Amino acid sequence: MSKADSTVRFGIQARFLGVALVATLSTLGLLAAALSQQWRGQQELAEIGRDGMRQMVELGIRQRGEALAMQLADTLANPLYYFDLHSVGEIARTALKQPDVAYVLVFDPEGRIIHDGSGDIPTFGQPMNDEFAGEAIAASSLHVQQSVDLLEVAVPIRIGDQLQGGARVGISLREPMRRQELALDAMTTRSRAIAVDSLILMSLLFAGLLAIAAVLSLMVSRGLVRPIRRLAEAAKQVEAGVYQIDLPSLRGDELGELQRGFLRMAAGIARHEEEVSRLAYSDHLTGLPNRLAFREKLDLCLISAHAEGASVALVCIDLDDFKRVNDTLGHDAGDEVLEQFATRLRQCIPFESDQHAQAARFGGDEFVAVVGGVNARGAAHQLAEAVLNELQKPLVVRGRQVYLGASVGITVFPEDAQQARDLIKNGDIAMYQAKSAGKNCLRFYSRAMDQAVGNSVAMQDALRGAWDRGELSVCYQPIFALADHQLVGAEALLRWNHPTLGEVAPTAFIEIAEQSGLIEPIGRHVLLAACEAAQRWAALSQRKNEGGDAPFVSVNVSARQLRSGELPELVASVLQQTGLEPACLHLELTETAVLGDEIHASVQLARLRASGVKVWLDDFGTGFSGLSHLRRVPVDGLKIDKSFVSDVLQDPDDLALTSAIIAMGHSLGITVVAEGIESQAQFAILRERGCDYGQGFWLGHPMPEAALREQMAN
Amino acid sequence: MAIAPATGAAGNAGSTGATDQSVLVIGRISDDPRRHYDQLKSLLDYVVPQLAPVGIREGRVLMARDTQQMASYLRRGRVDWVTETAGTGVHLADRTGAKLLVVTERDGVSAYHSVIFVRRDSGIRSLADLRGRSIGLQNLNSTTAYLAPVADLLGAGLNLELLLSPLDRPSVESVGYVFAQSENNISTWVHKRLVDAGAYSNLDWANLHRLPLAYRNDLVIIHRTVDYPRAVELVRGNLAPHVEQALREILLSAADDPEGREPLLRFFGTSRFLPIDAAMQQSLDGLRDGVKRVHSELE
Repeated sequence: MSKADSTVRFGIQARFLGVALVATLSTLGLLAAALSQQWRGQQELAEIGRDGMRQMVELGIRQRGEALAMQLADTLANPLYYFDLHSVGEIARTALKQPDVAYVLVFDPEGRIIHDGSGDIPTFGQPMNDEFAGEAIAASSLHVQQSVDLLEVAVPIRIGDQLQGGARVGISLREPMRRQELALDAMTTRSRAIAVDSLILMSLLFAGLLAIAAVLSLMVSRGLVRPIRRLAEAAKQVEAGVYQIDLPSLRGDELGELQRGFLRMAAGIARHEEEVSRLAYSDHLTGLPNRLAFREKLDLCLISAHAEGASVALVCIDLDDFKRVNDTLGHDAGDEVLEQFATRLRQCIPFESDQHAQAARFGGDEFVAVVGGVNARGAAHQLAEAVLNELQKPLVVRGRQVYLGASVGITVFPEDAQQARDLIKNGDIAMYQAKSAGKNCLRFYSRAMDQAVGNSVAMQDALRGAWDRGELSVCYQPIFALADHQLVGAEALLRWNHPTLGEVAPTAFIEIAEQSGLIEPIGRHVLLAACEAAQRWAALSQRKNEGGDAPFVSVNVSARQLRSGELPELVASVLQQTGLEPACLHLELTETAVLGDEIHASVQLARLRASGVKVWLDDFGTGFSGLSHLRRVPVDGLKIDKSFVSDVLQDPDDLALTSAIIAMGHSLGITVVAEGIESQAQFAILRERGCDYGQGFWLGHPMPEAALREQMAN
Repeated sequence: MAIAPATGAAGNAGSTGATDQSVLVIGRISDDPRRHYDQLKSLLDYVVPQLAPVGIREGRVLMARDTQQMASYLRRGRVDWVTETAGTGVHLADRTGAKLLVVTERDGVSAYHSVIFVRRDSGIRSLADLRGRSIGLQNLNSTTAYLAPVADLLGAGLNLELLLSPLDRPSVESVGYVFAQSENNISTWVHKRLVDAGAYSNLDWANLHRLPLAYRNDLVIIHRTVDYPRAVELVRGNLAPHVEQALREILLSAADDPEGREPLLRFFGTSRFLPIDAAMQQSLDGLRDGVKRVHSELE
């Protein structure tokens, strides 16, 4: 029994019982008091009756005694005169036979006994000396004396003036008193019987009261306590999450009101819980199930798939460079992007044909989908392709087109993992693999990946010391002047040749290096290597082309490096160490790196530029920061993002934008570099638009320094 | 047959007394006529039908207050038949000429005598010792408690002197006598020393109602008279002889008649009637002399 039940039990019912008990006991007390009063009254009445009866009895006896004595005096006179003792005896005996007459004494004037009513008069002639004798002998008329149990009437007997003697009649009070006591006893017995009757009646009344109390208690129990207990039970059900409550007999009274209120409350709780559940299980932004809901659904899905012997595929999708959208356009825009992507994702998933099909937002820019069917692997592949195709079309956010790529990882149940947790982990690994492979692509999970880089942490571990182990290397992509197609420099690019993974895309590991802080030591190595290389190129160039500009090397600088504030010193130190002309070192910074802290960045950049080093703005156009920034951030050049370049031939807008950037750059005295030139047409149009430098696969793939030097030498 | 009194104290009982020969009147001296009437009447009713052959058709009862009245009735022929104790019987016969008819045996006792007794501690051993002492007697009509003992006292040569009360004292030479009216009183007076001696019949002496044992142990008899008949039936002297004869015969045979027993028993406890034999006649004669002397010397 729970505490709540106990409270009910020892609460209302016990309290009611207590009140009923107190009331009953009070009544009993009053009845007992009344009975006691009645009893006392009877006692008093009996006492009064006793006194009254005693007085009456005594009066009666006295009167009888007097009458008897008078009669004796009358009848004894003659016999006494003649000493007719026989007659005297007869008369005395007759008197003695009367009830309660204890003795009859006839005596002479001297007080000697003449007769006592006996046959042989043993006391004849004896003087009387009992307690009454004196007064009796001296009595000149009727004389009454009395003791506790005896009343005596003495009377003188005369004939004329002559005193013959006297007679004494003793009447015992004992017997009359005994009779009186008997009568009183009878009365007392009767009154006791009445009292007993009263007691019995009262007991019956009390029993009746108890019965009523019991019935009332039962009624309270049935009418109050039981419904309350039922409500308590219902409350427990609600607590346990069962909202379908059956409360029988909805009553019209307050309890019924309480029951109805309780039912409304339960319904309200059910509704709220549904809402909470919806909130907890769905992503409010996209309306898709969230990670929590997805985990549960995936579990169920795997169970049913296991039962069916079917296979399902988990597709993990991570939007590439989504952070940039948030950083440059704001979080509202980022949210819009996510919403639009979710809509497209939904459209790609074959909900109708595939019972296992699901989609969910895992958080941030991560989405997942599940597909099943006979060929889950194929379906997943198809889905991934569809998603990637969808992303070929730009997302329009606030009137601006946003191009986003996605990295897709696919893993298949039951081949890759049996458990949902492992399956998700595998999907993650595969997705990272896709990111490593250069983003905007898909990868199937393999055990090799698992062993190598399961996730970013593993990658981070792998990256640490990679430079010392010689896994990291710097290659260079040549940069040409578009006007004369002359090689003017090269961009230093970091390559990671992992022993098992092979080449890992910079986009995959740079971010990790940046996040982990590994970028700083690696950055130092790269800067040094690049400067050493450029120094060699300068020597080579001097030999080949007297008076011409030495080829520069451009090195990417991360936001973290810029923020550390040590970049100018580092650069100065490296320049001094290598002897490279400062002008031959170009530092490329992304818009994002600069925008993070414009003032600080401006100071840093100003110091670097003061030392003669050129500063370029990388990936220009993707940050959407606007050209106005260029006024505040002093840069020597900017690199138009390859996304503009790739569509420059198809999209007039992109061409216009690219042209505007070039024109604006020139108007500010800034060198403009185009990235990602992959065709001659692109090259041609950019040259036509006046773009200063260009780089891209069509112009030259990234290559080892030795290969570049060879190209320079030619 | 008997001549009933015209008026008188006893007239109520005897006013219808027979004035003719066909009525037989039975009489008795009584102080309680109401109690005695039935006792007399039952025997009368037994006797009268049997007397029809002698002309008796009816029986009546007549009671007298005392000896004098009964003597008068007998003399005047008002009563035909009287039942009496021996002393009074012989006195009535002597005074009226009535004749003793039969001896009456009561309670199986046909003869009795008087005893004179004193307290054992009184020192009185003989009648002579009674000089200067007192004796309690019953009354003038009593045979055994007056006539017989007084006759013997006189016969012993003692002077008798009537006392006023038991407290009275006689002269030194005389025996004082005082009437106590009842045998009980006599017993008590003697025992309680109110008187020195007492006299009544030997039957009373043996009767514990008259003499409680406690008394008797303290008493001693100093004289006994001769035996006298217990009671006698007498008829008036001038009753017709054939009626007298018929009545005697009826009475003598009544005890043998089953129908006579009940009336006999009711007749003062009579068990039978006996003829007067010589011995009885002698004692009755002696008694008559004594009674005569008592009356002549004391009354």
